[in-house]
Amino acid sequence: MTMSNDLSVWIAALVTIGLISFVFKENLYYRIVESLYVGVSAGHAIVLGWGNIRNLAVRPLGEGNLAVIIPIALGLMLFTRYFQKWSRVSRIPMGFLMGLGAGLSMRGLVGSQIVNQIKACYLPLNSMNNILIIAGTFAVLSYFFFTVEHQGFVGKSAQIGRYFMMLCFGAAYGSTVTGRISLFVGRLQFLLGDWLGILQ
Amino acid sequence: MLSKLGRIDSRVLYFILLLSFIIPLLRPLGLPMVISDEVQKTYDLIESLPSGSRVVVSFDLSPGGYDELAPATVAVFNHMAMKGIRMVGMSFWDAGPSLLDRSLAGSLYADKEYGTDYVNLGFLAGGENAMSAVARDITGAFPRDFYDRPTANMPIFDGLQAFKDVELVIVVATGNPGVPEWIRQVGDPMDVPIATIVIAGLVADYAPYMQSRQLIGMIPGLRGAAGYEALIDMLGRGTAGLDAQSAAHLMILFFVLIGNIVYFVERKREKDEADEEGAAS
Amino acid sequence: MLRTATLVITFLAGFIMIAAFFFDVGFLSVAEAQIQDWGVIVAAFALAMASINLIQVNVNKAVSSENVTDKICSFVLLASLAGMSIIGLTKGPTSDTYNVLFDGIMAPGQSTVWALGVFYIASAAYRAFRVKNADAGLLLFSAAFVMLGAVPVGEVIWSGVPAVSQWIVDVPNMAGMRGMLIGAGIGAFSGGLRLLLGIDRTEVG
Repeated sequence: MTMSNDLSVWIAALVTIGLISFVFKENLYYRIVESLYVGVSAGHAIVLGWGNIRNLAVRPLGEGNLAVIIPIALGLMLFTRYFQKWSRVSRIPMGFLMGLGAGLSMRGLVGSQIVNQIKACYLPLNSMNNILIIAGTFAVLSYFFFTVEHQGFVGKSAQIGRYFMMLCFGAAYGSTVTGRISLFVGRLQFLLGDWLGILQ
Repeated sequence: MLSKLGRIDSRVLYFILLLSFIIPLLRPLGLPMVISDEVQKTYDLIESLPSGSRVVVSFDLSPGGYDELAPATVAVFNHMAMKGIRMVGMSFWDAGPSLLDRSLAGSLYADKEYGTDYVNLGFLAGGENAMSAVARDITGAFPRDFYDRPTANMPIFDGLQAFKDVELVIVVATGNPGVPEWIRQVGDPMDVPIATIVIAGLVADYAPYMQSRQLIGMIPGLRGAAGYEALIDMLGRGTAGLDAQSAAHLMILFFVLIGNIVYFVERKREKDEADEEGAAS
Repeated sequence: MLRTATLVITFLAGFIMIAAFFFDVGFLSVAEAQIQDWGVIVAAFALAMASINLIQVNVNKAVSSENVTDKICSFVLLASLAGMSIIGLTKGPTSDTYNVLFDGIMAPGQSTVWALGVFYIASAAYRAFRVKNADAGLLLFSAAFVMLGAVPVGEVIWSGVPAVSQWIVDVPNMAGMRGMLIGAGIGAFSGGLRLLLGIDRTEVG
């Protein structure tokens, strides 16, 4: 392999090195690269957001679908928050979005996150693993049972729940470490391989 | 000596860690790899789909996690393309469509016909609400694709209006909205199987969904990618990075070990000193 | 008046979503579909708000900050935001120029920022991950096996590592996560109910 002659690879390499330099010391190169990428990311959100507005509101409106005036009006109301006199108007579309989001998640999570998860605990008590799964779930739930004092049986159960959660957090920590390592491997594969061309 | 180790500059640790990454990348050891059950299950699942099946791939990720997920995504795309599975791509994260383009370009789908064998529908705002809207009416929610072409007349959508006609949904995820939202809005209510290619950091979080079969397949990050590459016999970046991953993991565990040795020795020394002072007074 | 309207709209948007899920009634399904489609459009408008906040903060900094570095950085941020937006809006997000900015700056930028976490994790592993009690011992035991189980070297050290790692994730971790998932689900449900019934008005009234 040889060194890349692709412009975007070179820019990406300079951005990557600039950001990595932060771990050794904060510097102007890092600050500029950071600002550059935050600006580009914000610009990207605007471009993609406009794509949705164009396809789902502006074009249908041009084709005579007058119903889209309502969400367009609601969308524009969001921007009243930048004008002190009218800022309260922005709460109407916020309320709409939050109500919609709350309704959607409430109807879904009862089934998927509560009922189906409880159903998945209906396991035959014929193995140590199944017993641990049922006992562990019960113990962790009892840890969050704050309306009863954590004494006696509830206290013991909550303590066991705490141990289960520690194993959870350990697994989550271990997984996170693996993830971050994978990401850095990816960055090095880019720098050493795609850019410098010294990886086989 | 140990007290010096306790006060070591963080940058020395960073440099040692950096070396643990670079050396195995330049000089790979070729350590043996284990294919996990979850990766094998996901492979079997895709292998069992008949040619012509339609699979939705939702690219719900940021570029932050793309380096970790790209090798697995390309491996799965290669497998799907080899099997003749049609791929409907979409995203509910703004960077998703561009990243999906990169993965498609690096896979065997690049040689297939756009609009017939695969499509990149682009991005839809609104997270969970948008997922629910798309599940009800795919081309209604995405009247145009990422390249601004009308979707209604694309052959891939013949006889495909809602998600009930889809064989499988694969969520490529780095966070929320992602897997839990897909399960809530599509998997459970519409009885559509859901699998995921997910960053390693979320593997522990999604274990309950795997056990309850609400999630029927999972490929965790670079490790999963390496396993999948081996299964389809197309080794790529997932496999190439495994030795560097091994070395970095060992280095971090070594740091934990040394940190604890320093801590316990220092604590014992302080206790001894306190005891001596107590005895003297 | 405005407050009442907001509360009514919040309630109706949520109530229709829930009612349409449980009752297969024609007008409810139509209303559900319509509200969802509107929600996507309003959410698309909302995407721009984060960028506007960013512009506000950085215009202020570029104009009034006394620190030259801050001024330069704010200017760079505003220029790159404007450049990406203008190219994207005029040439489209799949154009070559746009792709150079995406592949050259945005993708590697975010990727590197996430990847840098590994250095801070390493530093924390050295300085803060102390086995001071049983809780910390369990945490370290679980983390160590999950880490070693994720890479080939784990099996080289001891052939049982992958099995123990998988057991930790599938049994104790799964049970703990399930408990937290159910607890969080109940919490989210009650939070949603408070919002729809107007008891929690922090954001809407």
